[in-house]
Amino acid sequence: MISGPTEAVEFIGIGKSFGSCRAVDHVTGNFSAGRIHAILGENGAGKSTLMKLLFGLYGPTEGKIRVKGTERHWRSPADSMDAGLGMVQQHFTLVESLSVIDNIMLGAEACSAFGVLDRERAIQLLEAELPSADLSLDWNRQVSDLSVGEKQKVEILKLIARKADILVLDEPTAVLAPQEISGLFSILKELKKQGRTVFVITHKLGEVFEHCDTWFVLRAGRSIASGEVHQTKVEDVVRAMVGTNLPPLSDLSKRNPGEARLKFENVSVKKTSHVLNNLSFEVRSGEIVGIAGIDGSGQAEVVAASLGLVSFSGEITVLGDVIPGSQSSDAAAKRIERLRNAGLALVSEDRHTQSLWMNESVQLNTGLGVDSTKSFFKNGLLQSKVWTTAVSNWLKSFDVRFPSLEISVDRLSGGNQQKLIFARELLGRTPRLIVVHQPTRGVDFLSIRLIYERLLEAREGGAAILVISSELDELMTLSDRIFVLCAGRKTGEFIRATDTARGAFDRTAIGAAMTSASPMTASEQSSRKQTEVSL
Amino acid sequence: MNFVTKNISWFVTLGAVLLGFSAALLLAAVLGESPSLVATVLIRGAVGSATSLGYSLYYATPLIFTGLAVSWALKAGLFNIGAEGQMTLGGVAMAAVGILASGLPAAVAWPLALFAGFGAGASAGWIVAWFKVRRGVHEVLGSILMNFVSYGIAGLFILNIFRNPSSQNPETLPIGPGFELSQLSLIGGTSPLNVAFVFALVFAAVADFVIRRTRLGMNLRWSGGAPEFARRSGLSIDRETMRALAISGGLAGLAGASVVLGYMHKAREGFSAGAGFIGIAVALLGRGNPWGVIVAALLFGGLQKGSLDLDIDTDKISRDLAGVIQALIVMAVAARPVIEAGLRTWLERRKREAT
Repeated sequence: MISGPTEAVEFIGIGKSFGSCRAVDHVTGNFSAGRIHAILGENGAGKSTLMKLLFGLYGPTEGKIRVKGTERHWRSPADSMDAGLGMVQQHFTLVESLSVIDNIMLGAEACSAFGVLDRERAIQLLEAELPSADLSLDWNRQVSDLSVGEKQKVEILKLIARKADILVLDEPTAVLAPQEISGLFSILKELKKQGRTVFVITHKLGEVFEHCDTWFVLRAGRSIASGEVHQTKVEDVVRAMVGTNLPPLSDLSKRNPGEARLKFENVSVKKTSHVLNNLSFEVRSGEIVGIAGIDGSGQAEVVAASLGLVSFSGEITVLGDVIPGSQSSDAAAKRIERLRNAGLALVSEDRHTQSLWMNESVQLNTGLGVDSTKSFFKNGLLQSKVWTTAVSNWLKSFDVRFPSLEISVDRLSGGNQQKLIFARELLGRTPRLIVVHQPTRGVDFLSIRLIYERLLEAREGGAAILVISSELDELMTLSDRIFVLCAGRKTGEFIRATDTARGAFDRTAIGAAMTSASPMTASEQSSRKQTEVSL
Repeated sequence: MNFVTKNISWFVTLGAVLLGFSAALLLAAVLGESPSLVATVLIRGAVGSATSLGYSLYYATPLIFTGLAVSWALKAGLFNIGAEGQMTLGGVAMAAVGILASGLPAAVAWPLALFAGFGAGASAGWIVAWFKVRRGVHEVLGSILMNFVSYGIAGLFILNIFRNPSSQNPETLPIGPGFELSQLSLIGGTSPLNVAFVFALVFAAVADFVIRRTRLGMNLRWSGGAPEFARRSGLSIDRETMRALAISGGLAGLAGASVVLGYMHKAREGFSAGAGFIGIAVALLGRGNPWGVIVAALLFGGLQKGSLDLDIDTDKISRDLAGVIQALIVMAVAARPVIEAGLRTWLERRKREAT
């Protein structure tokens, strides 16, 4: 293959092994300059590792990297930065207490004589690089006052200030509301017009087909397929990512809500400020209610308050049981045990700490917390046979892949861990109320599909289901009703437009509600408006 | 090879012990004493005769109890460093019932004394737990402070309430004959070894069973291993904390049995002789496993006995070398995770290169 100067990046048989694990396996691919490339793949497919190889954070085990036609062997990330590469990590690396311009200058400060910082010059230099006014911010604002989308902008500006012309963004939209996402991509398109090359690591296909130019799929460390976005069908990309065709979701039956199984009435939770503010909603038998919102808008408190793990004002009723606004931790524990035995299934947000005992066996983890109703103990003595038989069946029915029951649960993949949790929660009891928080974070497509099916089955079976997620697509797929939390307030409520059409929701309206009610100061209000105008 | 990989933690622990000994012998050499002589004296002193062996087992007995006590709390993710005070209180309580009810026959007296010892230690543990649960006082702080309180209370009983007026020593009146534990003469020799050693083994076996095979044990470990998960499943972490520290304290409270009931037949000021603190090292070396605790306690008991002869049989070093060895072993054990990780990588690489 002839490499012209238009190729920004070329991978030639590049590979990286960690111990016996081949994270990236002889990947070959060309990426032309001045375009937005989507790097796609499931968790653990090697996307991040590949980009870290490009960026010099790892040295390759074999193969070559060419950047702008020249073969490169980075000794450190500093090397690759000098050559015009830059990466925005998923977790921002900003100093919250410094201003925007100080963060941008940090590490490459513009100084006048005697090392005095020259912010004016830094701003001038930066503004000369900017493709359009969309990217400019109030340079003197403190970073801690910025929204998540604006912080991300600062990260991008840092790279531009260092004259990066190949930018890598790792899962940039995971933390953004829908409007912020299109804002981000309009910025990326401006950068593209300047001739810069952008790599976006993602697993959200919607964004790829709307905004990116090419796609490149990795699976199990190998390059599987690639192509031009406008010449491709979504299904082809999905098949490349998953390795097989995804079965279609079963049809939705007509919504037929029964009794209220979870009810919030004017619930407020106050820490230093209101984390939940006068929230009222109910979840009825036979329906799926979704809570949308940016992470940290009070979702975790909805779960904690339902369990009685935080103090609150107002009234919460769970499965007919009124939860006291404040209670001793012993009383809370007794009530949780009673509710769980009465059919409260719970899949918590952080599965590693809240839903699993990480260095214990698969067998133990699948039976924990449901043992009292399942006679896993007789007079306090463990009945291992009963336990083993029960959990084996549950795991089989949720298609959990595990080498042996004795293996530590942290050796399973994220998808298998999550399926194990669902198996325990849905089969270990007769679920009457199911509360799931981030049900598919870090979970592969096939497992997601299975989880969705099981939730829809439970809905058919008359369970009341509350789904809390930051993935709007997920909520629109599953929910009968969606309400939006923003800064602890309910800022919108949406019902599926028709009874049986899946996903019949107004995405734009939901997105608007997600960013509408944050308690902002006047200056923040005005700058937020600016951002919105620029979108 | 597979056997090694599977039990790598135990091998590394064994390595830590050997490392501790080697370093101590090296120290002896630096001080001008022949390492082989020191090793011989230590080993002969510990297991050289029936009497020596009896003493080693006698010294190991309280260490098994305190080691179990610390391990029990560790299972719940709690660090009880108050075993010393709990042991002291337990021993005083045993002496107290032995003095107050001196006429009882052994069949009633032994269980009563053990019950009293367990109860006193458990109360001390419970107080630490109460402050942790209700007032947020970290159990390390609470239990170390509780040691001083325990010393004070013990002193009150030994030096005032039950003081033996006809003795020159700071000690209580003698306990009733029914309370005296029988000597164990199975191995011969003349040592203070008594049935408390058997009690210790039984308690270790029971503890192991409870931890592995019962709901009590599972909840104990769950509350320590995954507290957030346990809480969301309806387990009261507070209740588990109270229970764990109380049982831990109770086990430590039994540690005085072999000394108070089996040997001195009274409580003397300072009878615990640091067994509560050495119990921490025993628990770490035994990796919180009751059987491991027994082995570690036997090792440290033997070391304690063997080192006594160092004073007599060597010129340049004293019994304090035992303390140095203990400290070196504990340090080597503390470094275990690092060594283990390194060793694992090395083993894997070798395996890969072999294939």
